[in-house]
Amino acid sequence: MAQEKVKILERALKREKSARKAAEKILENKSRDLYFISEELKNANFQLENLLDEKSSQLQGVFENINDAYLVINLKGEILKMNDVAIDFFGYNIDNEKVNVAHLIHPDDKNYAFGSFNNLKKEGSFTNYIARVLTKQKEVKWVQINATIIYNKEKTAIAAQGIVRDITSNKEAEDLLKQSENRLSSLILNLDSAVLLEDEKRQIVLTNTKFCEIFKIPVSPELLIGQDCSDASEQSKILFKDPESFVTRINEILQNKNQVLGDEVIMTDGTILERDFIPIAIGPKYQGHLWTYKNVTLKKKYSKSLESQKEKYSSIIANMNLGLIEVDNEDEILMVNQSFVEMSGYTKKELIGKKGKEIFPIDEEQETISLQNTKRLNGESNSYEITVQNKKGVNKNWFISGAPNYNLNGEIIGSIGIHLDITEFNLLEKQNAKILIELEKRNNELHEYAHIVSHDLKAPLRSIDALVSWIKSDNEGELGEVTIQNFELIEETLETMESLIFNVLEYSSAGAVIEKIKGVDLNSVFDDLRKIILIPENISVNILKKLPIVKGDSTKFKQIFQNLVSNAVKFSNKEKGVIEIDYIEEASFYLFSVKDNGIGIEKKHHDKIFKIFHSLNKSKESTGIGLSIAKRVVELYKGDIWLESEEGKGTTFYFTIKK
Amino acid sequence: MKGIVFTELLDLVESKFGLEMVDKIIHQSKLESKGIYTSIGTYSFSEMLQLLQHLSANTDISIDALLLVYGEHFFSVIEKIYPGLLATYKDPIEMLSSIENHIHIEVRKIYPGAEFPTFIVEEKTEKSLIMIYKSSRAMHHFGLGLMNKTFQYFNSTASIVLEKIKEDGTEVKFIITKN
Repeated sequence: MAQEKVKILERALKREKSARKAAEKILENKSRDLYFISEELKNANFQLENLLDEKSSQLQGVFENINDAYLVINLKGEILKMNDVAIDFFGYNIDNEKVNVAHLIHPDDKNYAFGSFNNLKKEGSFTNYIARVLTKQKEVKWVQINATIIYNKEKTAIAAQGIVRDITSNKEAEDLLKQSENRLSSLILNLDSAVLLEDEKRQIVLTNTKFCEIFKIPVSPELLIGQDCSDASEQSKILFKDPESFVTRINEILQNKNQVLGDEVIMTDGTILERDFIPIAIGPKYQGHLWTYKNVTLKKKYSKSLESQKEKYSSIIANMNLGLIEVDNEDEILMVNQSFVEMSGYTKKELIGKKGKEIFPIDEEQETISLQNTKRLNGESNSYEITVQNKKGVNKNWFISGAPNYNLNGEIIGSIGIHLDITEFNLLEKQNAKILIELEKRNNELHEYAHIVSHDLKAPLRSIDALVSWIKSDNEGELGEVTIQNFELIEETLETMESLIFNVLEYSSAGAVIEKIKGVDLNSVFDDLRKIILIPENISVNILKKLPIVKGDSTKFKQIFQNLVSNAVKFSNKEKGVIEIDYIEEASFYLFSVKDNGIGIEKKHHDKIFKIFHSLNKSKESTGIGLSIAKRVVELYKGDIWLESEEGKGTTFYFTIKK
Repeated sequence: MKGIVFTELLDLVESKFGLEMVDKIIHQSKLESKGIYTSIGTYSFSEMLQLLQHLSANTDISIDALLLVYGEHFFSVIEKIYPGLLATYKDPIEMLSSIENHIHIEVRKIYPGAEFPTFIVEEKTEKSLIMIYKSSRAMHHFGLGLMNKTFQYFNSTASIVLEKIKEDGTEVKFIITKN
């Protein structure tokens, strides 16, 4: 049993030994493996270190030589590292002070900056961050930053590094450029000409509102940018009167690529456009071209109407009865019209290019013409009369009205004279003057005659009157009752006769020409009248308001009022007669009224009474001439006379006197 | 199969049944290694199978029961080799549910090439855990022993029900309920 146990133990021991050896063998192998692995690792490590050194020194070089500011910050924004450029740029030096990038950010860009930083942490990098920063000197600078996150071995973000480029001057230049670009594009946008800029591929680079308007494109010009134009002419050809030639011409222009200015195209609605084509090339490279369309309809219409006006006036000038001549400052004839040709007897050819003075040589007038021409050169218009000899050598009287002729700049370039042949007119005038003198003589004779006649008529009347009174006194007491009555009738008839003669004399003088035109105070006229006209006590003559001062001859006005007032007195039948004189002032005349409360006049007589020798009451005071005289005087003053009347109640005479 | 599984088994057999039994089952088995095992070596699983079968035949104890005891024993081995590993857990359920993701990885650091069964967590609450065991070795009772000891380690108990999904024991469901 013990031996059995020993054997078991021996076997167990043997197994344990073998197991130990096996384990040692495994360990030896492992150990060898480990040695090789560690050798390999060492080698690899060495290589890596070299590589790292190399990279580090490279990086150091880059870091030092970099032209832009370089910053390393921790995730709280504290600056850990900055290169010399950064120190210069920001004005801070982290060797002397702690700086957090939050202090560098411009207040206005804070949100953008923090947003970008958060993004950086999330994404690991950002590029082209553009914002403002504040330097230590509180200067505002524009910077462009590219940044990346730095991770440790566990891929945890530990810091961020960034390259900060100062773009302040770029930014300023860019802003200026943008401003001028904006100005330019708003200018182009609102230009009165349609503008279309295409690039070399015929894509729209720029166009404006006017272009869309003319070509009836219902979108804003910004939306057209980038559109292809190769089919545009086909699309818009229907807007033009001749669509095919519109397209052909555009293709032709595009093929030639030469500048074309002032091409005229007419649209179906009558609009006339002027088209310019300007190719754009930088060096030998074709860059595109510029089309401009200008609406010249108004201009065209204006020049057309100007032309027709000119034609109209030319035809008036050619056909008018006044001779027209245009000369330059040297008196050389530039233009004559048909009438002038006829007046002068010369043909147009003979006149144009010649000196006026030489063609119409009248010595005595030369001085006048030169004088007048000089005046005209000073810019004065004038009129004068000269006598000239026409081609046939006949003397003619010309009335000349001249005015200086100016060019567009307001400089005198000559003069224009209008000539009227007054030879005939002068002749007529001379005749008229003769006739007038004759007439005056005849008139005076007539006047004298009337005076003589009336005087001569009065003389026998006075003789009759004397003879009658002698017969009466010689036969006093012997004459019968009837004879005495007849004698009285003869005397009365003689009186009537005398007043008739007086009135005829008056009437003839009433028609005389008004010679003295001066202010007449009608109030003083009335004062005189009151002395002449016998006004009974039961009749009152009232002037309702102060009468005006009128222009004319005082005796004529006296005649009117004397006749009207004495008529009113004559035909007063009331116990208390009232005569009222009044007037109304109108713009061009005075309206006077003379109103009475006398017997009145029947309607049917209203016209008759103004006719001469038409008295309604045959009486010794009434010759029937008074109202005729009044009417004649009123008409002399271009007035009118009429009446309103009611039988038994009274009459109002109205008359007007032109101012 | 890792040598430590053999050396620990034979140590346990020696302590429970004596060196004679160790000598006997090695003799009875046809072992390529001739019964010479070192913990860091690697040996065929069929040797383990033969050793267990002969042990079961000689002791009249079922293989599962043997494995259960061996599993319970093996926990102390783990405790010895990986003291830090167990200390990271405060709860047995937590520990068991992380066999696959944590413990096996730690074991591999010392025993590269070790082969492990698969543990799939099917359901987990604070007090219960359902895991599917998958292994061609069908050593589920070894696992059960380890689990028992785990609860013991954390001064708690649990009822663990073992349901065979496949009759040969290569796929087994563990229903663990903490008491």
